[in-house]
Amino acid sequence: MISIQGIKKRFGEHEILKGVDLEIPPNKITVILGQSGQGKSVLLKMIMGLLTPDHGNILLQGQDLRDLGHDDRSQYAKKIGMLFQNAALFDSMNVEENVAFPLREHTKYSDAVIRETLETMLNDLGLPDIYQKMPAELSGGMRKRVGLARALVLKPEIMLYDEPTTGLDPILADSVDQLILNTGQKFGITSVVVSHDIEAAFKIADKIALLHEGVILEEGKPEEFRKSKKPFVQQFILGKAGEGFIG
Amino acid sequence: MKHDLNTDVKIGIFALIVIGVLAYITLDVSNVSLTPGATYTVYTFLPSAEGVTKKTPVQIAGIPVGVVSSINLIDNTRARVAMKIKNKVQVTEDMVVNLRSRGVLGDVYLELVPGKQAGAVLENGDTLVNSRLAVDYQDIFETTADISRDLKEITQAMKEYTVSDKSVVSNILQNMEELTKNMVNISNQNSENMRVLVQNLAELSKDLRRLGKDGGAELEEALNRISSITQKIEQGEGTLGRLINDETTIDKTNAILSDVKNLTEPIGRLQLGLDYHMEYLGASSEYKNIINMKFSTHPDKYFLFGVVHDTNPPPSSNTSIETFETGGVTTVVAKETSTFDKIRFNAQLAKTFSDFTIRGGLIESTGGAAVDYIKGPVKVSLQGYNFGNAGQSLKASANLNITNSLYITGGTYLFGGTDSVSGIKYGPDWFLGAGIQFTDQDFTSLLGGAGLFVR
Amino acid sequence: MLRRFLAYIGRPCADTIEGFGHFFRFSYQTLYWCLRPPWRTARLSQEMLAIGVNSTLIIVLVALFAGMVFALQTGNSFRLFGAETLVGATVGIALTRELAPVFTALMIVARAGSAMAAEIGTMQVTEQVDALKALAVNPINYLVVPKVLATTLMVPLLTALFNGVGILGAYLVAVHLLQIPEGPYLMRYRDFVDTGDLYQGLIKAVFFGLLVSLIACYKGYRTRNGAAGVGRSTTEAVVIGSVLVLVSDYFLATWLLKLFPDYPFQ
Repeated sequence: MISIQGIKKRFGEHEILKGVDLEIPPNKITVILGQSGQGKSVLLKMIMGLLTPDHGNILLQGQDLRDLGHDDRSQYAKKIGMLFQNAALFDSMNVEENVAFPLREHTKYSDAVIRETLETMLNDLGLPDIYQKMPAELSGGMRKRVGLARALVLKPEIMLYDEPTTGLDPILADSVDQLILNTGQKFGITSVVVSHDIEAAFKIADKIALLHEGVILEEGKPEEFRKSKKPFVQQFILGKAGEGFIG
Repeated sequence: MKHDLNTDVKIGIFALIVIGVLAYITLDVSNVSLTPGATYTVYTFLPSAEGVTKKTPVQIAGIPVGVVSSINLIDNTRARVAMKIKNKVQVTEDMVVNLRSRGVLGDVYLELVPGKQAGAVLENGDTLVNSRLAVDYQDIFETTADISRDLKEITQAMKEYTVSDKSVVSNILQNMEELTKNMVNISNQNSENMRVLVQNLAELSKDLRRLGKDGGAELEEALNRISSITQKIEQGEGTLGRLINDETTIDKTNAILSDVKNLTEPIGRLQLGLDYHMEYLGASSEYKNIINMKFSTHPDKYFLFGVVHDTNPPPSSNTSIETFETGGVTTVVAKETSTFDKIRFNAQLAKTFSDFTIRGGLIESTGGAAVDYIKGPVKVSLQGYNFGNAGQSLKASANLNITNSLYITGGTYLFGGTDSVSGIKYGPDWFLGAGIQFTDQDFTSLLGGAGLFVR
Repeated sequence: MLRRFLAYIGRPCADTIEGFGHFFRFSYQTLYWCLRPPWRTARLSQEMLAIGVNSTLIIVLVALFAGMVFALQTGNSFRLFGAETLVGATVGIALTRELAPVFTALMIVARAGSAMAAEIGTMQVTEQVDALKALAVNPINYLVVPKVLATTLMVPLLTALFNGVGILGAYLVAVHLLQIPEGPYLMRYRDFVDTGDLYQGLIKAVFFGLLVSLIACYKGYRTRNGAAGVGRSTTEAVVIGSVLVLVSDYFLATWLLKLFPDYPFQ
């Protein structure tokens, strides 16, 4: 579905990504693990098209992102939904306006149709009766769900999740994990999750990749990943701070 | 985000109010009745359109009837001015266009003055043939500039004579030059008085020039009519003459002249007078420039310090003298002691008794005494000096002269008189001249730009 | 290669030049998206309300007192040499040509410019700008264009309002407080103030509106580093905007005097 080939990215003095190669399988959930500051979000934003790599290609169904013209890029962006780390709700709009925003921007639906779509979507995500609330009034979990609703409302083929469970309590984190799982199954969506939550990764992932020091250190199905011989992978799985890191 | 009707209503109200305000101001400041359809254009020619711009008002009897719409140079000599006149106002061919200025800002306007009998009404595109530049401030400025040029030439000429010796005179002349400059500046902030003064000065300088140019025959004749009352005597350099040429004396005089202000400030009551005059000596055909400063410490007493510059001093003993005064103001004397003394000094003490003033001290670098009689604008002076020394008889060396002065205004005067001289080659002489004098009040007024020469 | 050369000259110099480049690219993009659909009339209305209509009160206050104090000071000074009837003309010309556009622009910088920089800056650091992009909405088109257009439209309108209120304030003080005779006052005012003066001021105002909104949006758009970055952007937007209003005013005045030459005192 998505093919990431030899991606390099430098920010000032620091080369964050040093040649990342990764295949995202269609209709599966792929979790990219890694420590904080390893460039997981950067990779995700590149897939989204928000950042451009210094070197390398990102192919979506064989189509190079960089070859897309303006309108095609817009089409591409509509195929992909993204849930940002803090949901990135538009704080000048209430929940209803936030979720309806993509529909009003990209469809000619009547108010009634939009309203209906909204109700279905928010009920599915367990968010009834908060239409008029402003984002600042919502709890972290609710924000994430509203953000998810906004991302899903255009029925994307691919969903990108940036640290979906960070900052949530375990129960809430679990419910978000369930949400990702359900969403993937229900809409038949290809999901890419960036996280450092190893437990959640094993719970939801069809494929796990570990990004470390600018490259994909290990990738594979969860069971293969667990059996990796590489010391850092084992250290990461066990959640121990080692004496020194071995590449 | 739905399209909120309320928002648009608010913006609409706001925009309507603002556009209303803008429209009101625009209509208020632009003369609405002068829109293109409501006017017709009349042309006129002016010898000078100085100060005229687009939108310069056109008035009849003080009422605005139109504006200037364009100005062009015609034949490289005249200005053609197009005036947009309101349709309801009729311009007739007998009207005269006057360029006038008003107020201290000097903004100009065109005044249409109707003639004696009514002429034909002008149509769009016609030309008004009669125009003139009204005599007002502009003219005064020009005259003033001419006069100041004359004055500057005079001082410049004087400067050339004295520039070699860095004497007191050159300093004074510099001051004179600055004074004339100041006068020009001040005349730009003119007043009615200025205008009078300017006219007087114009005539004065004209007279002076004429005198210099074609004096020859007439003066000769006049000279013959003047009787001689001189005795011939030898002359020599007096002790006082030596004293005045002494460097110490010169330095002292210099200090006084160069810093009058410092001098006047500590002496609160001290009054300062400055006199400059120029005289033409008929027989010897020479010019003299005299500058005197008068310090009055008391209403009836004053000290006089002055410098006499003789352009062409006669080879031997020779003289000329004159004096003048207003209500007890200034005095001047001139005389030559040494053979080529271009610069001589006056230093006198004076005391006034009723209409008479008695002066004594140095007159043209020699000892002398004088009596002035002043009545109204007339002054008569009698002075004698160069009484000599070294055993010469008094009569043999003395100079005696009589001067009659007439004050044209408080500050300017003409004078003439006879002079008895001692030299064999130069017999009795006569002289004519003109001068200008100030008191320190005048300076104050000049510098303050207020009433000028009003006494 | 070029960058290395610039770095050699000096980091600040290079940063400044790079900043200019960014700004002009940003301005170009804004212009590009002004001329390209979608045209967001609802967003434009919203911004016009926020930037223009909601600034009415403050502009009226500033204008009223600016006119009043100007009349008071010139009135007392002109009276010294008997020219107090020129107060209306002086205040009128000063307001229409300079004070109204400049003061309005400065008030808009302070009130709306800071808000723009803060809003876009906050959206940038909280990934809302990225979210817009992720939803296939161009942020320049959605955020910047309506603000820039609204400011460019509204500053001249507010300037016109400023003129009216300022002249009224001057009139009240001059005629009612200083007892300057009304007839000569108004005659002088109408004699000297010209429609050209008004237009000069309004042309300036259009330019000021464009300038301050572009700077504020640019500063907001370039915001990095969280809340502190938002604060810095806001400050910079206000400072640079204010300074540029005054600097560009000089050049605009020079050019506009050439454009409207028939000024009685040229």
